[in-house]
Amino acid sequence: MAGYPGSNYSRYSERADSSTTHKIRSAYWTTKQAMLKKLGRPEDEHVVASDAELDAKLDLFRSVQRTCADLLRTIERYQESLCYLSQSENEFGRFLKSRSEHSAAGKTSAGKMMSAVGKSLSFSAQQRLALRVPLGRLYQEVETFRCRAITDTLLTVQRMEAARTDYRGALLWMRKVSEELDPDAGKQLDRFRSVQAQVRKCKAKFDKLKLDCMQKVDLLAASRCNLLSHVLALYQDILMQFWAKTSRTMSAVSDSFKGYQFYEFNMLKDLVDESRKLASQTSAGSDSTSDPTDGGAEQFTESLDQKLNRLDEIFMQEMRDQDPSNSGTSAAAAAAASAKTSGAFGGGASSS
Amino acid sequence: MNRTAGMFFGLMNQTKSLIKAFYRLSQVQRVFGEILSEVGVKEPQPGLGGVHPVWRDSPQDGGRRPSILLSQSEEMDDEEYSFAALQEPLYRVETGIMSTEAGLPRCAMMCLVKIELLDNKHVVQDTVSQLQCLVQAMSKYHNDCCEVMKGCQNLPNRDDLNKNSFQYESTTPLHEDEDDEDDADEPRSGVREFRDSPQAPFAAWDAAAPAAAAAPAPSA
Repeated sequence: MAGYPGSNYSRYSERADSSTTHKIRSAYWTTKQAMLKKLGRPEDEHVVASDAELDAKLDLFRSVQRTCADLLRTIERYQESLCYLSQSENEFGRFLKSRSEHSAAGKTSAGKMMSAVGKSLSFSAQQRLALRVPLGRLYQEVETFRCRAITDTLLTVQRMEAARTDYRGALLWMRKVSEELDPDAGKQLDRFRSVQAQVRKCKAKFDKLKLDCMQKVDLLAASRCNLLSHVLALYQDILMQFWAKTSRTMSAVSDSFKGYQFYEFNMLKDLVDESRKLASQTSAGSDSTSDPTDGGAEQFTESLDQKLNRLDEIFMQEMRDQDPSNSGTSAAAAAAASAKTSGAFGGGASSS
Repeated sequence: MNRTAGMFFGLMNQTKSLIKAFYRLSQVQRVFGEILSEVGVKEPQPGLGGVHPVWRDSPQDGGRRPSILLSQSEEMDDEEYSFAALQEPLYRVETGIMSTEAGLPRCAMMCLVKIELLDNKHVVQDTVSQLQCLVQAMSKYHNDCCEVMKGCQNLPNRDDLNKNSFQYESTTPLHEDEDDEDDADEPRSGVREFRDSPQAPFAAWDAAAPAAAAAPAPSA
């Protein structure tokens, strides 16, 4: 057809050309675009610049992917190191306790202190293992997040990339056809208009997937932060409880054995009184049993045993009690985190 | 004395293992904190990102405390040689090499006195003071960690999503003519469409969003 077409003609030609030739040509340009990208050839800078916001979101998505994988690996190492440290602490504690029981030093202050320090280390080792619970929980949540949410977003990203390749391929085709266009040749004009329609179609599809993709990535990042904040709240509570308890028990042990320790000299009996006087002057909580003028090994042993009994009571109390300021918060945080995350991914599983 | 030497040797070995274990844990905790910091920094929602940087810094100092004990144990180990110096007169006592009978009981007495003094010094006073240092240092370390962590007790995060969360500059609305009127009233129409689309299987994440934090999830 020669001459300028009427107004109806545009609508006629913008209907997508579904002939086989057109499809093959379209596929050719899509493949060419894909090859150019793979080979790393530079693309039109204006086309690339128009996708800057999308590319930034894709960087964010890749960062989310990478940090989730890193977090999982690190949590595994954390669990291993925690168990290893707990084991070392426990072995050290048992070593001190066994030495205090089986050696001649057992009856001296050194022996009693070794026993007390051994108990505090074993206590710390036992309490430290409580951290495995929130870490295990965090691992499960992040693993589920990675398997479902990230995988799903990745599918959307891949569909968007396919649409982008189609669109850019169509743009390349359009450029070529524009360069060869002779407005007087009707057939060329027809071809130009069909390519134009193809470009519009690809752009519409690409824009829709682009919006989907960007929104999904934003929602993914926000959901992950929300998930982490709930599970880490529990971890934080338990960690602080652990530190508070072990700090209290160790400081009680440290205070009980401050200063010079009384030593019952057998050979140098002259030094016995001096030793007792020095011990009572330098110890932290001196009580009536450390009166330097009183004699007696029994009183000294009794005082040591009293110290140990008091420390044992402190250990038992710490094992029984939770920290009252944190107990409500940690229970609520655990329940809330469990409800939200299992609900979210349960919903996700049923609809996917 | 041999038993005491064995005890100090054992103390040294145990302390070395403890230091290695502490160091290993603190390295992992540092990496853990760095990952969480990166998550916080890259989070596009401004309220959600601020929580995590503190985590990296709290557990750094743990390795130093047992190393103090190790160096002190090694000093005590150096003094083991002073025990060895006592072995000689004891050996002489046992095998009766001493020439004069008058010198023998005096020498034995001197040995026993030296042993008693060393026992008091090393076994009792030094052991107690080194262990006391260790326990005090560990107590202080745990206390300091607790104080640092108290400074960032703002979890779980209760900030809502930004109102412009899902508005982008480079995307055009899908149906411009129809949606122009709606967009003014529903700035989050894009999100609604996304939520309702079959491609959003985690539409249920909205239950986890801070805005819906108060309502318990039905499948819990």
